[in-house]
Amino acid sequence: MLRRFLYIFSVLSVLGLLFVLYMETHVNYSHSYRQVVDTIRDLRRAEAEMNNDALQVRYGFLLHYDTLKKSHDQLNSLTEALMGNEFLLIHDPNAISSVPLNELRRISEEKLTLLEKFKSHNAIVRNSLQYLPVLSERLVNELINRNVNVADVVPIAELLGQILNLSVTSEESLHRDVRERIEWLIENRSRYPKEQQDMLGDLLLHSQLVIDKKKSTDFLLKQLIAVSVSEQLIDLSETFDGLHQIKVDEVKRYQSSLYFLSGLLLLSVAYVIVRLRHNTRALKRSVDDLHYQKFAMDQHAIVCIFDTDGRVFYVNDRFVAISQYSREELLGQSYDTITTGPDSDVLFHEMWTSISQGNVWSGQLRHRQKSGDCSWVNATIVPFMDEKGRPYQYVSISSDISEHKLMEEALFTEKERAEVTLQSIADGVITTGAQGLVEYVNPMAQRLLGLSVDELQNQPLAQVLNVYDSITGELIPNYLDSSLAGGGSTKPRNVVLKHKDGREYSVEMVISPLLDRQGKNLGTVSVVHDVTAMRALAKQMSYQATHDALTGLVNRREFERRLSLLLQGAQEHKTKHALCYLDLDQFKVVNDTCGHVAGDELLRQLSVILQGYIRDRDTLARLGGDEFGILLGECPLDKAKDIADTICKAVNEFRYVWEDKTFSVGVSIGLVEVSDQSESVSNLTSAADTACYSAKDNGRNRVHVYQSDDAELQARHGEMQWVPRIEQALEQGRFVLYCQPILSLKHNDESSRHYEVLIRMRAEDGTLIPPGAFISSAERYDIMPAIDRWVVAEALSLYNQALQRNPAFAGDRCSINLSGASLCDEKTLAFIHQQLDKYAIPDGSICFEITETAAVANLGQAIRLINDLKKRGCFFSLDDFGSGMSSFAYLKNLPVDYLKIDGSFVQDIVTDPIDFAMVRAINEIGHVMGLETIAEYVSGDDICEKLRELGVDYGQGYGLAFPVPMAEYVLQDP
Amino acid sequence: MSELHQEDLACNNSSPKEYLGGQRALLGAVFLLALFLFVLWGPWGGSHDVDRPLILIPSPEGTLLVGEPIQPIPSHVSHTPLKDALGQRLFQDRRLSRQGRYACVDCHPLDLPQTQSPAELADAALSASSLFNLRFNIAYFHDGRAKTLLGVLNDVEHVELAQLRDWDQILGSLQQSPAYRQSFEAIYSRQLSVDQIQEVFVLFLASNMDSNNRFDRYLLGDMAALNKQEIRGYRLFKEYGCASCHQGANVGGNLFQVFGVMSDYVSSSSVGDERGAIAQNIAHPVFRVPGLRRVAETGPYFHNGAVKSLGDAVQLMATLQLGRNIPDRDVVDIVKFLRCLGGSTDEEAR
Repeated sequence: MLRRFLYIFSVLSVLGLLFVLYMETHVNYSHSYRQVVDTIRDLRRAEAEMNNDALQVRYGFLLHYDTLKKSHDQLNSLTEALMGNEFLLIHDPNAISSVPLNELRRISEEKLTLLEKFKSHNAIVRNSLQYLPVLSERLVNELINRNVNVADVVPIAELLGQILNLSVTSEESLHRDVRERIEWLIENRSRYPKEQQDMLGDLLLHSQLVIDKKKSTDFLLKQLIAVSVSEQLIDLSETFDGLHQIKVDEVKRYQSSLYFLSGLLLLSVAYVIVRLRHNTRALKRSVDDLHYQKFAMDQHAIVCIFDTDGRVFYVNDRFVAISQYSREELLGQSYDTITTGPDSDVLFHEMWTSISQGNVWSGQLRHRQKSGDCSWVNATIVPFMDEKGRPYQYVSISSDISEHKLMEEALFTEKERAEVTLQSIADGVITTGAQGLVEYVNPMAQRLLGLSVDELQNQPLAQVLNVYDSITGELIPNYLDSSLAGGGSTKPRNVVLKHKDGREYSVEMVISPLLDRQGKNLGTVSVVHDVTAMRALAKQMSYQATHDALTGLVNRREFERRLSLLLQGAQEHKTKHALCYLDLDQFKVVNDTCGHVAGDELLRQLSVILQGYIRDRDTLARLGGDEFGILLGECPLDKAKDIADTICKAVNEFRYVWEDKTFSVGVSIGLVEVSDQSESVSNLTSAADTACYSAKDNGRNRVHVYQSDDAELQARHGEMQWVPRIEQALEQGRFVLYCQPILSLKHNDESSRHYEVLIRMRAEDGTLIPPGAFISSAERYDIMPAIDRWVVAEALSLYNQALQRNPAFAGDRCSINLSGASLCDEKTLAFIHQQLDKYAIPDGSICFEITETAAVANLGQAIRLINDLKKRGCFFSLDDFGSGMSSFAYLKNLPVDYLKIDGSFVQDIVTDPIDFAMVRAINEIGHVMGLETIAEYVSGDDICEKLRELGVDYGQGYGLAFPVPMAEYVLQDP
Repeated sequence: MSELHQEDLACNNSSPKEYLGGQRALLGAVFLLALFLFVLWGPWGGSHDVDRPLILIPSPEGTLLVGEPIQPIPSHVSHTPLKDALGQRLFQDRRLSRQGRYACVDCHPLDLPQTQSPAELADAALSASSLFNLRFNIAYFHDGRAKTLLGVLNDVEHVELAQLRDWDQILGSLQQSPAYRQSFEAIYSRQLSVDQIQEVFVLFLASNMDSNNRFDRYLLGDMAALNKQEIRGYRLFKEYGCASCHQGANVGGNLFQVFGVMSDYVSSSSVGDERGAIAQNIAHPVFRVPGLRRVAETGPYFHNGAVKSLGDAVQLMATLQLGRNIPDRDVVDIVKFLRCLGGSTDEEAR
């Protein structure tokens, strides 16, 4: 305000100064100067005119005094004008001009006086001059009429002439003459007649007047002209010129300063204009910049301006866009209603307190949207201050952080999840900063270390987490360094960490560096996995993997591994070793009659016994079930044979007592030499198996040494070779059914036939292979159900064919063997049902034979199957009864119809009283239980006789009938 | 302030030109400055309107009689008709005199129907001058004691005689009149003052001219304007020498002359009155030669109004001033001529 006032004041003062200078130089001065010059010139002219007029009047060219008056008036007024002239009044402070001016006025007045006198006298002179001739003529005439002496008349006449002459000249002589004549006439007045004397008096009077007045008139006229203003005017002019010169100099100075100032002014104006143009350009540029900035801000930010009452009066496009309201709806709204915060009242109170004091406020707000949603913004509110430092409006600049918020929430969720995960997992997790100081420890890590978070936080990880090599037991220092240096993950192996209380944990650690996007190290993450339990488990597992759980002996795999080692040693060092394959006889009886616990106990005791007969460096392994294997390192075959015999004997002598029962078990041992001649482990085991088989074949409880010369033959019997052959035979239908009649020993009833279906395999070369060669293999490799299904299908088909041919065969009873595996096989059961349905076999035509061992092993399944098939009218016989040393108690539970007495009892019945007693006992028990008995292996008549004696119901064997192909047998007419 | 910002902001697309208003204003200021300087330095001299009351119009076409002692009253146009009219109003206003009894026009008749002078002023009115053609007078009053018209107004003797108020009183009384105030303010646009009153008065008196009467027309070449007797009277007027003093446009008034050139006027029975004489030179009293325009209606004559008849006055003048006797027949003719010099009576005489 003051500046503005000063600015205006200075401009006005400059203009005023210019104006004053201008007035000094121009208006007053030049005008009054010209006036003075003009007046002086006019004065000269007026005086000249006046003189001229006076002369004209004097000589009768002008008959009135108006022009004289006029010129005198002019002279007067000019004098007055000069005296009253502004220039002289102003620029003659010392009144230098007053002397000539006053003189001028005096002269003017003097001239007026002279002029008045002149006029007056002139009028009189003129009147008299005008009258004189008339008067003179009349007087002369009268005098002549009166006859006056001419001599007296002549002077009068001459007087007129003289006076008239005088009126135009001013000769002194003439004047004197006239005066003398008049005086003469006055003296000689009496000479004229009395009547004319008055007239003469008049004449003389007028003449006198003319002479006097003419003289004074001329004098006055001369004086009038003589008294001139010109002298004064010259003085005045000189005075004035002096003043003028002073003035001119002064004016020149003023003018130059005026020019200078004007120039200065113009220059400054030009400068101002140039500056202004420059400033305008700069302003325009900055305005453009501001516009671009505003544009840029509008692109990025959400801008809104509101006044001190919170009324919004400006919003930018982004604001409109984000709010979804139209601009018109937004303008005039209160800022508080457009936006909202998490805790609006407190927030807005704080905001308004801050910004109304002129502070910048920043915070997060939510913008209401038309849809009712809210969008998050990060707002900065800047107050605009007036000159008094009070805010008059506020600008809110905000950016949309809704996505941020969402991300933040997602991040929070993620973090929460990670934290909860970290809290929950069983691994210890420790993070450190770039300096290796602990930042985060999860509970598991705390538990492992036995330290609390407070004890761990901000400690160097290497100090709190001491890691030792589990093998050497040495402290591993600096395990963190490579990760901190930005290397990859490190996994120290076999490490142990110590709990606070001294416990040790085997752990697996992974230490990974945390890198930011630029690859800069942010710290590390160490994951500590407690593998103490796992390592123990692994140890146990490896033990279990190589040992038999029941006996604690080496298992088959480990056995084979050691065997391979021995074989390797044999091949490399030409050493000889021995391999024994032990198969317990009668073990199943213990197992079946007294339960698994008893069987297991038997195995454990046996293993202890066996252990006692071998050296420590030898290997005793349980190969499965009731099979054992022994490796005798660097042991010649004969020596091995001795050991095997000893073992066999020892086992045989061993009596196993279970509760109140006593069992004796035998063992069949196959012995194979392991030498550099041995081909492979599988060959060896196969050979040992074969040898053992041979031992069993040879009557059990004995040792059979494998002979390499019959290796070919034996090998063919090897189970390993059977599986593909069986499968091939099944595919190619190379099985053949034979049947062996079961004949009643009590009476020869030929009306209905009873026979057992037997299976033969037709070899590739057409020879028939008895079932003993492949059944055990088929049982071991689980092919029996398939074979059984084939047998059932074939047998029923043949039976049906026979029935079709001759309905009389309806009374035949066909016994089909079912293996233990088939008992458990639902598929086979369903197949049997289907086959029975298919051929509509009459009730009682089919009898299934189940071995005692199979039935006992799968007692529940067996009972269910029997009951199930019995409903379809099938009969059941318990095969090989007695061989398994089973308890008779089984019989109570098995609803069978026949009891087939094991052939081993029957074949020696004649010679062995024990067998005889056994057969008799079985037969009796069977009969007691309402079963019919069938004796196997009836090889001769003596046996037959014995059986009849015992009251056995049926017999079967070579002594009674040989097996014949079933197709022939069943179809032949009775 | 706030509104300003609002507008600025509301106008999103406002171009930067909007901000150049300041420059425009400054350019305007520069232009004004240039104009000012131009006026200052421009080719205008100071023109001063010199107040000339009258424009004298040159004679109309025709043959002006050359060499005549008497000149026609020139036609004229007043520059200041409003002021003249206002002066005439004042001239007729009785407020100028004490007690408001008289107006100027009472003693100094204009062309209006003549009013009788008030009885009290009868004496004074006897010698009251005609107020026509005052411009041609060299001085005023019989003795010429006032050199200017303003001097006439302020003449103490006249003021006493006419019982005029002094100027302040006149101003006071005029200020009370709304009509006068309005009229003066319309002319001067200033507050009413004594100067203004005096000026309008003087202007009126100076503009009161009686032009274009019969004799003027004669002088301008209209020979039929006068009859023979009058023409003869004019010739006699000149021949007897009357025109020696009674000359010019006003037929006198422009010089002083001794009263009684040929004989002492004091001893004269009819005008032997010392009143009004200028004691300049008691032996040769000098009077302003009166102008004879409208002489027929300005009787009684002489400074003391002693002579009633114009013929007697002519006779007296011839005796005193010219030292001659004019026969009665000539006097009649001269009087006839004198009646032609303007005035209502002259017009009636036609």
